[in-house]
Amino acid sequence: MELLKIDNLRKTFKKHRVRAVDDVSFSVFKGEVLGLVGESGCGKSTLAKLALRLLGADKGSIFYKGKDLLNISHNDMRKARKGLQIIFQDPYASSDPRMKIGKVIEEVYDIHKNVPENNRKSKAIELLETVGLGETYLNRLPSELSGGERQRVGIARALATDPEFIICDEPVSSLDISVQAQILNLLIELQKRKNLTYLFISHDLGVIGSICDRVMVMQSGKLIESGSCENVFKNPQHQYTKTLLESALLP
Amino acid sequence: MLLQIKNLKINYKSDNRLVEVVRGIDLDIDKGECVGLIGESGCGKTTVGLSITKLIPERKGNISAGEILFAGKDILKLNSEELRNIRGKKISYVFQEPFSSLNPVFTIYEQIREVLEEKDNPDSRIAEILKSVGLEKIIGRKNMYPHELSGGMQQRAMIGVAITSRPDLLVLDEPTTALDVTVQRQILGLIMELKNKMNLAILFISHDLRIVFNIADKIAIMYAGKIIECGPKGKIVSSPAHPYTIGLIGSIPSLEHRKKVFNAIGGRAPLFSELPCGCKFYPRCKFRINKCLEREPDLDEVNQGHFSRCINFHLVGGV
Repeated sequence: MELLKIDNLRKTFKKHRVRAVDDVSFSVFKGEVLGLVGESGCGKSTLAKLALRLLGADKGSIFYKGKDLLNISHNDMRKARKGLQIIFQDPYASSDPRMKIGKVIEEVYDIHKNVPENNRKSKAIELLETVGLGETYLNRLPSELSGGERQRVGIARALATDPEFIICDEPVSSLDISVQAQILNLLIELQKRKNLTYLFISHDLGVIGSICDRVMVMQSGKLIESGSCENVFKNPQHQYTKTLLESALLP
Repeated sequence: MLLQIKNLKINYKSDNRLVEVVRGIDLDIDKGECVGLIGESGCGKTTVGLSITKLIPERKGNISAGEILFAGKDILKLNSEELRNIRGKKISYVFQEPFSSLNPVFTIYEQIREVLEEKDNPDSRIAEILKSVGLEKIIGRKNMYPHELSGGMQQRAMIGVAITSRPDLLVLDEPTTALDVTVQRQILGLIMELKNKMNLAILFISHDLRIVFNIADKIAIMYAGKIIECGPKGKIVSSPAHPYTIGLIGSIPSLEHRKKVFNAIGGRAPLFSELPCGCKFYPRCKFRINKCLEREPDLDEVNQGHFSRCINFHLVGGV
């Protein structure tokens, strides 16, 4: 089933005269992990923000479960966001430094009102346990956590609305390789258990190969190659994909 | 031996207490050799790199024991003038963020000239340096500032500044971590080329085993302020002899991985103020036995030139 369908999406940053996303079309199917790989500045994070309407697109359409996200009211969009979540690269930058972890998660319930008030704390604890933390983290501040723990909080926060689709925007790039493996394990396990759908953005082909079913390669705002990981890695067609594969540090 | 670190111990000040963050390290680097120093953030690897030229500020910490012999002389016993002749000259550094290492208000040209010994007619030498780090494009462009270069070019410029004094030892602390993969590959190639051409000794500090597998001759793995395994690269790759190393190798993502669960290391590295007794890796170890709690294991030779700080190494690895 097609969960998200993007057609001819375009975004130009006028001040810099950059076409960050240039006529991009693709679909994400229910239950799959779709990778998006490319180097910094190629437009992959812009694409992620456009897909959630965190940035306005210039042209094109985004259908989520048949609903046209670019032509619905803000109110309807907020409702749709329950199903569409995002995990950012830098969990420290994406959390309020003065907000305790428990509150970080409960805040989601305050916004979406999807859990009754007297239940919110226990739901937060449950979520923290899901991501391998626990009740002891409720009263801690982001600064007291390690990078890996903060990213777990980021994941818990994304899960709080019980989404179907999560955009993971470089979720492991700022982590040590040992912690990166732990977080990838968690994301793989959650995806299988909850039948989640991910759009997984990374610049690291090894990471893409570890978690994705399909992969799209992006360069200068355009999708230049896509296919199953196996096909793209074994038989790359585009010269840029070949360069990326040659540059990847493999064991 | 160009550099010999012997039983180095370093304390950091933390809330009016001293915490030992480097707890006795031995490390040798030969001329023309690249040694990879691996560990998770906070294990003390950067501190070791900085201590080689006494770059740890006194208000932050001090070196409490050990020797750092560079070309036979103990760096820790040098006065500040003698140190100045080594720091940035015989031993240079390249750090992770090139932009924060380069001075934003001076041109690349001026920053290389500053290090040059031959002050008159520096242009030909500067052109030679720029060429050797692959910055032919900016030769003759004396008004280029760091912000006008891309991240990769900035790192090339930083390497240029570092090799200007024709150092014997280059300390590279995560020099490619902030760069894109294709650029990372180019910079690693450049480092290898310079190493061979200049017979440079390199201490390559990184958290990523993949990089070190590509570049180092010898590898030392640090955990909680001590080296827990070291040896020639081939031995570490083919027969790792410490559970921590095995976990690090198991954490490497690959193209063929396909949603299999990583054989990762659980938990997190201990705080230096709360180190467990016995083996420091015990709480996270899959091979642990009660005997591990008795005392911290020594770094024993498990095979020629290959050392491991694990009493169980014969069960653990392919040794």
